[in-house]
Amino acid sequence: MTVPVTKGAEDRKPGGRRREIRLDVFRGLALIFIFLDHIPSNALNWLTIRNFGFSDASEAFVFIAGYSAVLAYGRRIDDLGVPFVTARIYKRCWQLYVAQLLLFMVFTAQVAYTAATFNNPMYSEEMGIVRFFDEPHVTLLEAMLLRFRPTNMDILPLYIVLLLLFPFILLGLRRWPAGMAVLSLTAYGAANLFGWNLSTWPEGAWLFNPLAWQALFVAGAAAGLAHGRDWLRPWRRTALWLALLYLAFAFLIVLTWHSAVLESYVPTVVGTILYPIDKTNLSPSRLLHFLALAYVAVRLIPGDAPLLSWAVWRPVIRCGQHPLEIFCLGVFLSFAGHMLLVEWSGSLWAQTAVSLAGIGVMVAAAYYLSWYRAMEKAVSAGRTAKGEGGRA
Amino acid sequence: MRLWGMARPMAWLLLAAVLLPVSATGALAAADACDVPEDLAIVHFPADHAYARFKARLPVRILVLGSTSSTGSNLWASKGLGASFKAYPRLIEAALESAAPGRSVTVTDRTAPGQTAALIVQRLPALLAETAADLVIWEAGTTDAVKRIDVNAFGDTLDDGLHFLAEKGIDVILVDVQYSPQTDSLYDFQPYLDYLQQVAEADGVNVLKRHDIMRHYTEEGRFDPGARIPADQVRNAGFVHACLARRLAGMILAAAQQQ
Repeated sequence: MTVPVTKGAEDRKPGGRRREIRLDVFRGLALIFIFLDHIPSNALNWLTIRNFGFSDASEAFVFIAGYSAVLAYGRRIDDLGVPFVTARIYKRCWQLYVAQLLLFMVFTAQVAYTAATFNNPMYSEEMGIVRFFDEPHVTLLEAMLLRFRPTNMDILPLYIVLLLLFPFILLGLRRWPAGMAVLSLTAYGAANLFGWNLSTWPEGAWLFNPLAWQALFVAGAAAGLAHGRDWLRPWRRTALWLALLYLAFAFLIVLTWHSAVLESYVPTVVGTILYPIDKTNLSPSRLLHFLALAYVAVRLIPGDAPLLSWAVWRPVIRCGQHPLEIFCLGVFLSFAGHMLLVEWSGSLWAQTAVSLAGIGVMVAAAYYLSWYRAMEKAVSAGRTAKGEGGRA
Repeated sequence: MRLWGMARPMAWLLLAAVLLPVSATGALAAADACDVPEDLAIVHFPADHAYARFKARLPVRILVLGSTSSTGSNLWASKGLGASFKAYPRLIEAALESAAPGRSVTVTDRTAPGQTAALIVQRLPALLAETAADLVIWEAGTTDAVKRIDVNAFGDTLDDGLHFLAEKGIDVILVDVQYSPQTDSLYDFQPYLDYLQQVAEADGVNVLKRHDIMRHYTEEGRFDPGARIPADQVRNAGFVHACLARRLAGMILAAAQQQ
């Protein structure tokens, strides 16, 4: 069975399982949220999930990355063999790496532009970033080593490291799931307890600590392997209520961040336990929040839910089907969009217009990519059918 | 970092501006260009040391620490405009004198380029020995964010420094980072702002919310960070720094009156 909206978009071999449309919906939403969140001072990013709980779109992105890596590479490992599947995964790593360097170029252009047009001595300290380019050979080299990482360029390096590890994660989860879980949680615990992290240049550490964030990726991969199995069944009612309770708690806490009055009602002991909510090491409050959110979403929206076939999701699904391209485009558009807001107008109308236009461009690009992919597939299928002589 | 990832609550600010109009405490305040919404002006914690000094009719010795985001650069001087701009550390004395005649302060400015929280904490003992400060105004977060120091490390260092100062009985006012849409597009200051706020609350230290105040001025059209003509830049910077100095003077007085 093929859901109409995914027709021709992704390879699902006959007899294979129905494409998990919810993955595309949630990933598409995460990509749109990441775009909106990357525009500072944008009233529309008030609508994104980070304002309703502890976790944000990054968690969804990483978890779904793990989940869909299993769907993309894990299922055919038996007939294609480990070496070929590993090679495929590493080809994807290379694409991610190239994408990261492309985004670095976009960032460099943005810095150069800002340095040229924003020449206010009041901000000389802040414009210290320009000094990174005093020694371009060092900066470029560090960027190529993924150690020089300007703002908003942190998630792809994490993704690259996670995919580099993915062949091992996949084998581990298939052969020794319990051992893999212990290993993953140990690394997560070590990152949180001892603050182990990779360093960046010239100072600092990875904003997304791979040692901590792998836990979410591995959880996503495990969920991908358990696809369709409701392993929480014996406790499904309790689990749902616990998850809902925790989401409500997180929402109430987040509300207090916007109001000094409400904030005073948070008992000190809650604050002491809860804060700081650490993104670098994916603090347990964030991890739990995302898992609760994901569980509730999956339980309340089954894969055949009528609401998934609403027309409004079609563009979102399209975006979700081309995560890398749309992510990169989104980062570029958020730079460009913010520049427009700064140079042209920062009004609420301008923010809305820039945000909607950006989403429009992402959707258009996603449709274009789907069309192109379908054509390529049709052409190569025709070529295979007709032999070498068949030209489409 | 509790507010990590929270949208800059512009909508909230707008809402606050509607729901919580700044209560005009005097005829003068109503028309004051420096006014900010009430929640940006709360002074939570007392300043015992400054209180004792004022009570004994002694000047409060203030030490200003931080990066050059507090003092500006001398680029305007080369255009003949340097003399017309005074950064807030140089305006506090006058602001306090006009707010509360008879209560005096002396200010030592030790801001310097590239001062991360770690560098400042390292220099603290020597600076305190040199200045015998009663109150430290500590601008934190800018350089750490520019250098992308791990936000947890930044928070821990800040916390260490505040504890060190508290042990010595020295009052502290923290100043957070500057706002401009241009710099906000190059850095993600929010985690540093959030962490600073959280550490300050945990350690009982008042914060001058410079970022939100400057954002408020920008949104109200009172301040234009993107001004390109040097004379305009100086005028804009002068306005912000005069307001910051007045707010700091007000905070010092308010904190020194709390018991």
